[in-house]
Amino acid sequence: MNHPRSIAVMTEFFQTTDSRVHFGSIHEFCKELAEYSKQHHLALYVTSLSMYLENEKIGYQWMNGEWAKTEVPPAKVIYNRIHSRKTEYSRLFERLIRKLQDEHVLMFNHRFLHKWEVHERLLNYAHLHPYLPKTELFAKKQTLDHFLEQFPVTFIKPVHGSQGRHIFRIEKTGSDFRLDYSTLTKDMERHYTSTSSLFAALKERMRSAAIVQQGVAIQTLDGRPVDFRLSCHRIHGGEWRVTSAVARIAQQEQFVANLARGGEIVSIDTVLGQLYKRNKAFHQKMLLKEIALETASALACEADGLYGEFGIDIAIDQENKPWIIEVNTKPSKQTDTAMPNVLIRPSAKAIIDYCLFLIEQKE
Amino acid sequence: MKYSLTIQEGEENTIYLPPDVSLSGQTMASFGSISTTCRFVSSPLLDKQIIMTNDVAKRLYIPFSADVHLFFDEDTVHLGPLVGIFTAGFTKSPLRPVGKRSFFFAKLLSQQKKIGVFAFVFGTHHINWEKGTITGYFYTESGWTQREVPFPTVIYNRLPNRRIENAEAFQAIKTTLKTKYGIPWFNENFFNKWEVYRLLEKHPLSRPYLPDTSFYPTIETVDQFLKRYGEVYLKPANGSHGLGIYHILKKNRKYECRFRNQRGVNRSQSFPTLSSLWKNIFSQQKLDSYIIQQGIRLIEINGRKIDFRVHTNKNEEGIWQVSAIAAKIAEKTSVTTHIHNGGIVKTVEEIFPDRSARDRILRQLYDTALTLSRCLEEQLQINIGEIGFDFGIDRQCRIWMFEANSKPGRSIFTHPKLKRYDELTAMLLLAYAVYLSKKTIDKREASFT
Repeated sequence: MNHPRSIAVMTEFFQTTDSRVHFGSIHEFCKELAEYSKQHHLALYVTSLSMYLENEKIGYQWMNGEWAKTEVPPAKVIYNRIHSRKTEYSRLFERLIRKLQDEHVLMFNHRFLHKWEVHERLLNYAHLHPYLPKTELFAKKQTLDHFLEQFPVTFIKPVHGSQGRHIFRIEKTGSDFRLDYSTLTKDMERHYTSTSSLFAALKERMRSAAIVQQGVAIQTLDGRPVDFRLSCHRIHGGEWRVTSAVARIAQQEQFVANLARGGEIVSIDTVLGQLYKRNKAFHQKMLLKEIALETASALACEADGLYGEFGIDIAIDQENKPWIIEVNTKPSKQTDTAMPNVLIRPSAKAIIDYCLFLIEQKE
Repeated sequence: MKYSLTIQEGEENTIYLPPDVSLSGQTMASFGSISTTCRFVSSPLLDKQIIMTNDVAKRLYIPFSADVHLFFDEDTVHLGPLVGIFTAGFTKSPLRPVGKRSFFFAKLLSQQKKIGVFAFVFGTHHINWEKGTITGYFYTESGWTQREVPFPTVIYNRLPNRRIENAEAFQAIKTTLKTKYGIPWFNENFFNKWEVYRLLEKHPLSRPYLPDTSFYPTIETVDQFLKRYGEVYLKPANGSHGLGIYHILKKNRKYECRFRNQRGVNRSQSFPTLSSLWKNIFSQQKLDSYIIQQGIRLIEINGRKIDFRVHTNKNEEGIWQVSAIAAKIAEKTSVTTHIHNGGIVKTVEEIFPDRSARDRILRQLYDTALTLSRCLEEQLQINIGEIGFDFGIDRQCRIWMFEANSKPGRSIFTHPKLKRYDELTAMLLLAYAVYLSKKTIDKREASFT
């Protein structure tokens, strides 16, 4: 090997007040990636889409406690952490994909998968059907009617939404339909007496593509809905592992448990321990992990390009059955910080292990 | 031919059949081991559809509407088949009834709609001998559910390990279901490496693929084998996952022994003489259930050995076909290419990028796997629906068979490009169950006339 094995993290740059570079929500995570890479004699640098296209031999390297812009050995593997979907739909990104193909550079995660893409792909796996809430594209009134007839609660979610934003919740209450919205906490509740007025109102508010989803009567603790976030990573050998599993408890008055909506992270064992007796809690935890792993490997097989991580949201209903609520292709790194005294998170190690595996495969 | 069976409210004691089904005076319907008399009505309105009134469905213990096959004998229309998958290790959790193997069975059972069978998982304690029913686990669109059904038409044995399989209690149950109830089993036991070798050695078509093998290695046989082949493997005849395997090589006047220790670490130790190796490694080790096998100089990639897993399945016509092929690359220091041992799964395309070389090797692997499947079935004289072979290719491009597994593991299917073959092998297992059911019903009929 002439030049060192090199990995690039591609993300957006921000500038701090003292004009230092900042990598937004993954800033700390990048440091851990860099530290762990060093331990494995890998070079790691952070770049952006435009920086990389301009010159792939320049990047930010973690040196002596700070990120320094320097010359770097061109990456053999790129870890895609671009957070803007718009960027991924741009001409520039297309150019990147072509360039990487021509130069045989691997990249994961290939791109965002939106909610409908995820659902359609998972539907190809019959063994996952019991855990997938019924989902359709939100286009026709008939679809909405059909959901409202079948289920007491129905959700409308934008296909590109994240962090629990812009989600509508519809509940049948005897004669009318109650509409709730996730982003504004108060004064949003509205009542509609017919599905046509409800459909019109939703269409008016939902400007982009959306899905209709069966509402699941999820488990609550003290009246607050609980769900689970399982981070799955590919490791050396390409197999999937659950690298962290946490419970999230929604804020009072919220129907989503996303951290961005005030949700609170609690240990999965604590929550399952409160909900179930010991043996049952054990099986529930194992089942959550098994479902997450099956979901991750199914999705990675179905999607174009490479995927090395997924954040999988699973809820448990009041009959104890788990449901796959959502899969995130660029999962937030906030959920696996729950362990103090751990300098490098398991997910950071897994990312580097997978990079190393990809590099070795190529060699 | 697959029909969609719908159970309808009503007490008319009737099964409505599509017009292409022509009966020859049958007056009974059966599902698994239970039969009942009922009325058959041919309805021109039905297309690949069967409608059954609720009273008949109840008497036959049909759990729900689903896709089925029809088989006929002189007086009975058989619906099904009802396929029982026998295993052990059930939990008390209805969401995870077979513990960590639940998804393995879920994947198998979720192919039943495509094939048109009723398939369920059961264990000893689910059998109600007095009533002649089994409370088995089905996997439906809403998940696991327990239903009471008749004894199955055929049984697939998927016990998790040899220890449980060898237990007397299991053997007794198997015998009763086989002889008293006439239910055929398939893949009814784990293969024993030594038995497989002896049987295949007798057959002129399979003999060329077998490395020289003998039973119960001693220092003398190891010495002979080393003189002849330069390297040998010692393997437990009833081993799985590559556990307990020793690789002994004679290299530069030294004897080297490679193995995986109890902590799962790959070890290698060298000795000046074979007797010092023997004393150090095997003085505490009983080798009376081991085989000794000629070492083969396998083809390599970057200094790592490659071998191949080839799955064969019998299809709905009872014909062997190759259902999956994967290459396994060993870790540099490892004794075997087992995934548990740091091995990596690759597709044949990844290993042989050159088209013509690849096609030649694939042809060889296919032919060998099909030949050996037929020979093994012929010699064993039992019903086999699936075999997982471990093959090696030596530097002269000759194919060698190391192992045949009657319950092949699923680890090769973790490779993204091989995942769909996981489905295919599951589908074929159920398709073979259809074949075996038809054969059984036809045979029973023949023995009466």
